[in-house]
Amino acid sequence: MRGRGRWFLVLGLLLGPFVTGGPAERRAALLAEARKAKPSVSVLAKGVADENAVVRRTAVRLVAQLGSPARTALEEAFKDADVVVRRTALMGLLGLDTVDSLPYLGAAIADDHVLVRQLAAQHLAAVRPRPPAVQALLDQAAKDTNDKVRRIAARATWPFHKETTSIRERKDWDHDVVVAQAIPLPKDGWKFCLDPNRDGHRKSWFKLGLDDAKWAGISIEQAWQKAGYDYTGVAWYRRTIELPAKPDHLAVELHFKGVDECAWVWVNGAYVGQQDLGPSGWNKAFLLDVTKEVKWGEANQITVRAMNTAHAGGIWRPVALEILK
Amino acid sequence: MKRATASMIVVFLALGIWSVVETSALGQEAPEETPPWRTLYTGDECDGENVIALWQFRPGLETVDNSGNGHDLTLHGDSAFVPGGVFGSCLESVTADVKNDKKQGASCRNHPDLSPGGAFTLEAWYKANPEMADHPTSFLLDKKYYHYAKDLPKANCDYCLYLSKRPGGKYKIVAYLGFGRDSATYSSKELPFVPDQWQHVAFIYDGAGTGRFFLDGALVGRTTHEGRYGSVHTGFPGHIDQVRISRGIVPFFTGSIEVSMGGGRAAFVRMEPDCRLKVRVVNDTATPLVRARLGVSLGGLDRSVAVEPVAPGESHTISVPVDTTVKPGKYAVALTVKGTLGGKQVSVQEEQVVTIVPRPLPNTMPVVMWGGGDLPTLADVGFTHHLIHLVDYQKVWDAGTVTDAMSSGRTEELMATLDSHLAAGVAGCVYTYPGRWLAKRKELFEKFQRVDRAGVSCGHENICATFPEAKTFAYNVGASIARTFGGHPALQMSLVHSEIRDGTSLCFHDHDREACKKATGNDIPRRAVGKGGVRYSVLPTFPTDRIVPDDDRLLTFYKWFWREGDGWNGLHSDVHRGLKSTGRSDLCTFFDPAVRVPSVWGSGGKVDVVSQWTYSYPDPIKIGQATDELFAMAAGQPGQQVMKMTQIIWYRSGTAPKLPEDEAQYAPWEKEIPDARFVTISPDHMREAFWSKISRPIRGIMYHGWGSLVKSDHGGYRFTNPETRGVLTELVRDVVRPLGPTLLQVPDRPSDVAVLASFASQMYASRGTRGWSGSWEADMHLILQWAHLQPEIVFDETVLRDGLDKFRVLVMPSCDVLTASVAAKVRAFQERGGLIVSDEHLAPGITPDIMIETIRRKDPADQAKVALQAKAAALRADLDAFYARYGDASDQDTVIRFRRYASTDYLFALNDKRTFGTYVGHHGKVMEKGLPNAAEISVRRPSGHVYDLLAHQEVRVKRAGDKLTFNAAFEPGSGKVFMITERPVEELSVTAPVTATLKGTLTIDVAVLGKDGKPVDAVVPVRIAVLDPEGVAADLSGHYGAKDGRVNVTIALAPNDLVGDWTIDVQDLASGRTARRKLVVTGE
Repeated sequence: MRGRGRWFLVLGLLLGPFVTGGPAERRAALLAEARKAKPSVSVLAKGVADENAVVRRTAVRLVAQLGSPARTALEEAFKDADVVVRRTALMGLLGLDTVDSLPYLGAAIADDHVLVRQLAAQHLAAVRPRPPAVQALLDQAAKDTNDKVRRIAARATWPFHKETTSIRERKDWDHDVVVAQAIPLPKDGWKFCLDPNRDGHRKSWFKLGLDDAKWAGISIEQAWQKAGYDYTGVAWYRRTIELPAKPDHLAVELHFKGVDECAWVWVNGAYVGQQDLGPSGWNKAFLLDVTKEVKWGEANQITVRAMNTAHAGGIWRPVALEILK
Repeated sequence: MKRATASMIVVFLALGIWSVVETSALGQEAPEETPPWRTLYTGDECDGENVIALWQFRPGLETVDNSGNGHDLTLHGDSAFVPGGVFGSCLESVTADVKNDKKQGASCRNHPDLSPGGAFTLEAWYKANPEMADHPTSFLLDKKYYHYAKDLPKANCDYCLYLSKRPGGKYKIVAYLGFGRDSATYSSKELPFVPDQWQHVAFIYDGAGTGRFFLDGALVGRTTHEGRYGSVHTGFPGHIDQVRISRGIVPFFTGSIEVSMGGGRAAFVRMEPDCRLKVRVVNDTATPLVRARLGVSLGGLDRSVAVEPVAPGESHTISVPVDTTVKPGKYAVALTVKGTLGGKQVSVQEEQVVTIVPRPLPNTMPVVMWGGGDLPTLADVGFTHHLIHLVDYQKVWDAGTVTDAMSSGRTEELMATLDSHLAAGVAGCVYTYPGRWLAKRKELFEKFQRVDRAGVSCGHENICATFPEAKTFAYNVGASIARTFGGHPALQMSLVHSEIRDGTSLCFHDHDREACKKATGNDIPRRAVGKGGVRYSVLPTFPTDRIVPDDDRLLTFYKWFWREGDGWNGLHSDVHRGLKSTGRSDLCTFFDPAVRVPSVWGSGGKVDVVSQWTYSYPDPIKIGQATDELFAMAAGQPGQQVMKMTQIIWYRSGTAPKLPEDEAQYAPWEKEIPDARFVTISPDHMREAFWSKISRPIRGIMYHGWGSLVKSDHGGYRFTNPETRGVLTELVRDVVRPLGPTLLQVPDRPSDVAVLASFASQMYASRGTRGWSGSWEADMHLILQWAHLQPEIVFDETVLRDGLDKFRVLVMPSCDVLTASVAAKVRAFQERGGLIVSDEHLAPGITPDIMIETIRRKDPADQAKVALQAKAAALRADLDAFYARYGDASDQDTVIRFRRYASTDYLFALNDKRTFGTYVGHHGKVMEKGLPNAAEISVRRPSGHVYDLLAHQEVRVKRAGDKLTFNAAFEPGSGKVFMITERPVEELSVTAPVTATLKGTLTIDVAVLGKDGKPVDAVVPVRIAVLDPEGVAADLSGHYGAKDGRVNVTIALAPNDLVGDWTIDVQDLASGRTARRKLVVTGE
């Protein structure tokens, strides 16, 4: 695809009187053209083939302002080697009322640069209502190799999302935070259920009063494969733990030392956050603030939805409730 | 006085030995009889009706209360009854400290009689061991437990008597009395410490607010707190004997006439007008003092004033003029009172000291210690200000109007403290926090607390600052301080609250909602549930181009909330108005951290200066980023200026979180203080941070973290790097002092690169640095600095008010959402040819010319820096064809910045080349060690002459086309400042008279001239020294900034200056030229 971008560039070098002077002058000429009462599509389109990327970006931005007559130029620009040109062209194309934007979004969601895929995902996520074709593209984005794209799609398609920042990382907390006490979650005694259809959340498997008596038993701090589940996909863990009387504390966080690969967590039926880094999250610890959700001196129900896409999966490292001061 | 409810009291724990070298009764006729306190009490002195308790430690009866009231003692810890007392045996007490953490001394059971109402007297003999000199506090008698302010009922009852260490090997005797709602300190004057000697101390409280101290029968202190009626673990290293608690005033202690300087100032600024000494004559006898005259001898001038009769127990204050035209120095003042007492002639003499300090030089740059420190060390480092406390909030609250900020006793003490500051050359910066005080008082907090939409308390200690009573109180606090202390020249600044807005939150009182309706036309929007805004992604509908209307309801609400709705800006203006109410326009008010809020104008209200603290790690040039945010904030308040604080402390979590697994890798401080919570900023970071902020037109510099700067009694801040203090001292001495007067007169060079801090994006997409300099937006700023651009941060409001015409590049980090008006300005800017640099977050309604993809910092710090510098290089590559920068450097680690006066540039260059050192570098989080560096620097001006203002010499330059280039070499972490003038400096002209007379004036004209004989159009740093025949610099000698190449200094010769041959030495600190003039000073 980028080969065509290079062809355009060569073509631009061969073209007319416009392509003279330095890049600054060529850009200025484009801007001057755009200020005319009736700017010339062809003149601006020639700028799309300029050797300088900033000039091409300017040209495609100006072309896009011309609306439908600029469609061809935008479509060519959408194949440009420069990612900003492609993004600008995509936005121009999506802004045209006369075209079906889905093919462009489909191409963009498969672009080799994350910034184009990200832009496409943002547009797809904003579509309301969401027809099946858009949903399919979002599903594709949800499997993207890049976390940023995946997150946009996940937020659009998955009802549970919470922005989480550990108090240890909060920008507005100008004090040292220390772990005054760590209460390890039991290794054994967890309930476990596979969710191959990925619809456990629709069945409210995170609910406080869910009858999970028929779920299988499992231990954490090991991959589910070690418990005999040769499985790739989504599975749920549940366990109830008793907490002591309320200690003196600043905040309470759940500290997962490692879930292979992703995790979504509820405490007492309330959603508290996720670790959604894709495959690269398999060995990364994460913290979730549960200060408001835990009940001291009572039983507390913890649910974890884990997902893996390759190799081992599950809560394979310890989990602890950390009391911060 | 309130009674304690504790079951036990500690009676004597500590007593140190004191001797009196200054007596207030010199020359008075000596009593013929031995005073009772020198004898073993017997009879009524022992068990009279006014004696509450008496412990004499008689052999065999050591624990017995000899008053017969049954307050017998129990011995604790290592304490013992031993021989060698004043009258036989005594109590030997030891201190309790970290190494000996158990009860010491002796105690008796609590009893209501031990808490007398009204007047009472405490007495004891004590003999201190030499080690008492090492203890800040040594208790003699404690029935209070809390010897510090604490807002608890149990902390504000009863009394304690202790010795408090002072600088210079001195001590004060302190009584701390509880009055129910609060407590008050009574203290003696400073006394020298003399170990191994028995001394007798008595404290008499008159039940009406006045407490007096006697040491060996001599009055050594008197404090009055109007409106006052009414530790076991901190022992005493020494011996104690004959301790008595009595009701009422023990009469035999009132036996002298005292004359002293009291209630007024004893330190003055030279040439300060209308200065007067307050001399107090106290009659502490039972007989009227009549036919008395006061003699005052100061600097060879004698005055004699008639004193009105002074009744027994009364005092009379006489005001005596002070001649401040004398040269700076310390002057002994002899005070003499002669009169008739009971038919006998008495004469009392006292010698005290008056200090005359030099006049401040114009444009002296403040160097503020945000916190406390001892005056000699503060002055040694070069600090010009530090924080002090000058107001009794409860007193002002009770008054409900402008009143005296303190009781007269505390006012006297604080006046003396301010005198000490003036004499030491360190001014006071009063910390005012009326809002925080209201939050700390339980009953007031319940009234003023913030409430949520349901009317339930928000919980945290942050009041609703829009309550009229709170605002009035805020004004009264400021005005009361101004009224009481505003006349003292040592009071020069005020910090108005600190960190208060961090804890703010939406508030739903009726008056809040009404104010919102009035300001915005609407009630508080339903979706506004937190102060941080609402993420656009959770809203059911939002424009796809993310351009919202200017009257967007949520945004309008949040803008109102952060500008005025949360109340703090208005309340800070109230404090500011109060502080200025007596006309002290030079009393500088400031608020910090002023940009720890979203990017909307108004933070701090109308204070004179906004400031912000910043931790220098991982990259010290972030100090410059935070400073630029402050300038963007100040742009909304005409005349408001900026100061910048660097934190001396480093959090362990951000620098050296865990000890290395291998002990061999420990830094020396990790071996010595492995549990240090805060460590000292590295010396090279201290240097670089300094240069980063001083390159901006700030009004002053500030530091916090005394405990990490000097070796001292420490809390969490630990002194882990002994080199840092020396670096700061050197920077103040070599840069701030000589160049400060120049830099304070040099404005910024207008920038053509703007960085938009988008309030709309902060409210709708949780963006923004909030002053922490740790987010992507701040990293983008660092990228620009490394790309040798000079960014100016602009708010949405700046764009709307000033437009974008002066800029050529607009950088838009994390600008997810824009208002329609801002977007229109941005589009118009781009249509005119302006270049937009953004990241992938940019609102789709705007298309960038250059995109820098965001990255998230990760350790190790060197890789993060490499990644950001790579983006800087890429940005340069994109920009270079379209943008010609004014200055450039051949090396990315040489960060440059310009300021400009007339046609003269001031080019700052700092060395950011760093590596991991052995201090914290082994943790990989901070490259704390600077490396030497060199660069070729260029400036896009066709002509000019470059002067190195630190080396005081011209720099060789190459001129080619429209550029000047020159080479510069840098020490680790260091910086340089170059003055670039259109015309070369050719001459230093000094015009001064050749003769002058004492008391006359002497005008010195200095001009830094170009080749044409005209002054250069620059502010040139100049040193002027006017030296007397002994080489002592006269008042007003020092550093100046010669604006437009000229400076004029008029010296007023003092009547006691030396006659003879004087010298005037002048140096131009740009070219290094010097000039000398001779002057003959004769008598009048």
